[in-house]
Amino acid sequence: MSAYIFRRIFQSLLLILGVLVLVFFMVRLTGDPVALMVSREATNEQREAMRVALGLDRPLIVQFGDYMGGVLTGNLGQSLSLGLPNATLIGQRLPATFELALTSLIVALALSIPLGVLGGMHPGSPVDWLGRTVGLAGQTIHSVWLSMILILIFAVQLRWLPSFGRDGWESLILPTIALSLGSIGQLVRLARSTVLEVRRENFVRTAHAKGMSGQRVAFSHIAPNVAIPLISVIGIGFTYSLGGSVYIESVFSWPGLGSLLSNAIGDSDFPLVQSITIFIALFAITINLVTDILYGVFDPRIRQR
Amino acid sequence: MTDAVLATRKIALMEPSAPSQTQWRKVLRAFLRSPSAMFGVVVLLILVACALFAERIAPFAPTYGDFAASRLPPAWIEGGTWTHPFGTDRLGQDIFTRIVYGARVSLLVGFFGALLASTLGVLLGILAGYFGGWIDTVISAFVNIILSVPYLVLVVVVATIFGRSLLNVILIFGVTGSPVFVRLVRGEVLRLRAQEYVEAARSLGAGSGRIIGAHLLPNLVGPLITVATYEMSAMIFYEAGLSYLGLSVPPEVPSWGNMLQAGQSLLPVLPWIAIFPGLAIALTALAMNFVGDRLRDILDPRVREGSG
Repeated sequence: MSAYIFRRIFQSLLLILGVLVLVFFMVRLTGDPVALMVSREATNEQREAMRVALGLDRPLIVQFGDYMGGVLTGNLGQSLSLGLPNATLIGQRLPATFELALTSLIVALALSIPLGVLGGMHPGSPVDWLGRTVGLAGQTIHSVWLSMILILIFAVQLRWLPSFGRDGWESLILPTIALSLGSIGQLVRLARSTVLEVRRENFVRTAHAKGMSGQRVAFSHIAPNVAIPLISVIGIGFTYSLGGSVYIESVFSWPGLGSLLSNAIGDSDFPLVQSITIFIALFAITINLVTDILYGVFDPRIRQR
Repeated sequence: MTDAVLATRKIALMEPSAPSQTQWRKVLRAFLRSPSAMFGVVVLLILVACALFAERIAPFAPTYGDFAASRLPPAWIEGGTWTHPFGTDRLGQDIFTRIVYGARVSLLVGFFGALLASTLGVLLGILAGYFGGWIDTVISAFVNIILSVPYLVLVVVVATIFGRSLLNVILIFGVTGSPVFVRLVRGEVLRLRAQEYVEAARSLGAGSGRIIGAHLLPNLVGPLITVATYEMSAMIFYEAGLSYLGLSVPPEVPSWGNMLQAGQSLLPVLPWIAIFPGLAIALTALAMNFVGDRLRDILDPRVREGSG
């Protein structure tokens, strides 16, 4: 078991290293990162000053060492547009994003798992039809558009709920619905196909052949084998919510990481964009590591791989 | 050895069924029998026509604004006119015209993005799966790194650095979309490579090129087409998101995402500016999903076995 955990941690560290290297070189691949950050009218002296201020005049290897050292000590540099340390800005915005991502994850799981599991147990039934329709809706209705429609109905027409900002539980409702629809769609399909797959296993057929009642097969053979893969669903759902929050937060002016990122993009604040990306990537990798370890704890077969 | 045993040996050595010519005819017939898939095909044909012949279909030029006819609602609402069926914006630009032209950006990004992603994915997937070793290690590392970052964040960041033109957006989706195909192809190649018919081909002296071209690739066509259809609709989604954040084509180019962005601040007064592009995206994605579902049912025998 511990060998499995160590292997997974080691793999995650490699992955993190890969992401850091990728981000570092991607910025430098464009040629001149300064060109992205200064205005078009900037003089050559201004550009040079910016380059020195950002340390871009130093050898690449020194820059990389500095960058890695900074990431390891939690120093993510300074934001150009806001003049504050990036780590501080991320820390300020994190609670709002967490609140939104967690609520939508909970809503998504609460709706999608029952729908997907029941649909998989009874393919072709009305529940299955409902689940598949919801799944399709998640893949066809754009979250930005859904946000606007929700604002139009509940904020503009009915005046029941606020259309932007983060002020009390009422302001959380619309962004949560908009953000969770996409995850609901994905998770229903995943849960459904997991159930269908387990139902095809030989041990399920054997249990039926032994004359076991359908209900007992469902509870003692299918349920445990479906529950384990669904652990990984939590990780998938959470990273999906983090990604979607970039769009939803800008529609609703929700003061989280996503709107910080889209503002930073608008201001060409590249150090901040880079820091937020690294933070979100590290976070996603960590969540996946945790769910993988849990997976291994509950399912010994996984550890062998 | 009895004849029966010989016969089963023979069957075991035969290739798994790659879609042959008669099978393509079967695919066509199965399509005609499914109303949802036919609906999808018809919608997609209309969209392709809009993209190709936008100048003929759209009643106005995309940037033509008639101030006398600004802020008009859709035709079926009081005050609307059938000259501007979906209404107009503040500048008097015709929404229907911009929807028709918007199909160009969406379809170009979806089609060429998915084409590039699948081509790259097939190349890298075959290299990784067939040759293994350090090539596999490097390619798999690339795939795992890309897939570890939430995709929506990844495209936003890459687009911030490279984006803001149609070609760049296509390239971005092509490269960042390829890992999905690499995983699919690599897995299939690893599975197929161990099959007896490939071993048989090798023992007959077939080289790597022939094994890949004649024995592996044809078996990948089915799953590839299916995944590409879903990816196409996903890329249209992501492009609209990027346009909304101002990271895709410039704001004056009519695209559905740009229209969503333009419509947001006018939502309380001119809601139709944002409503129609969203409907267009939904209809396109729905059509592609219907076609994809049907293709998967026909081309992927493993799904067909299931009661789904």
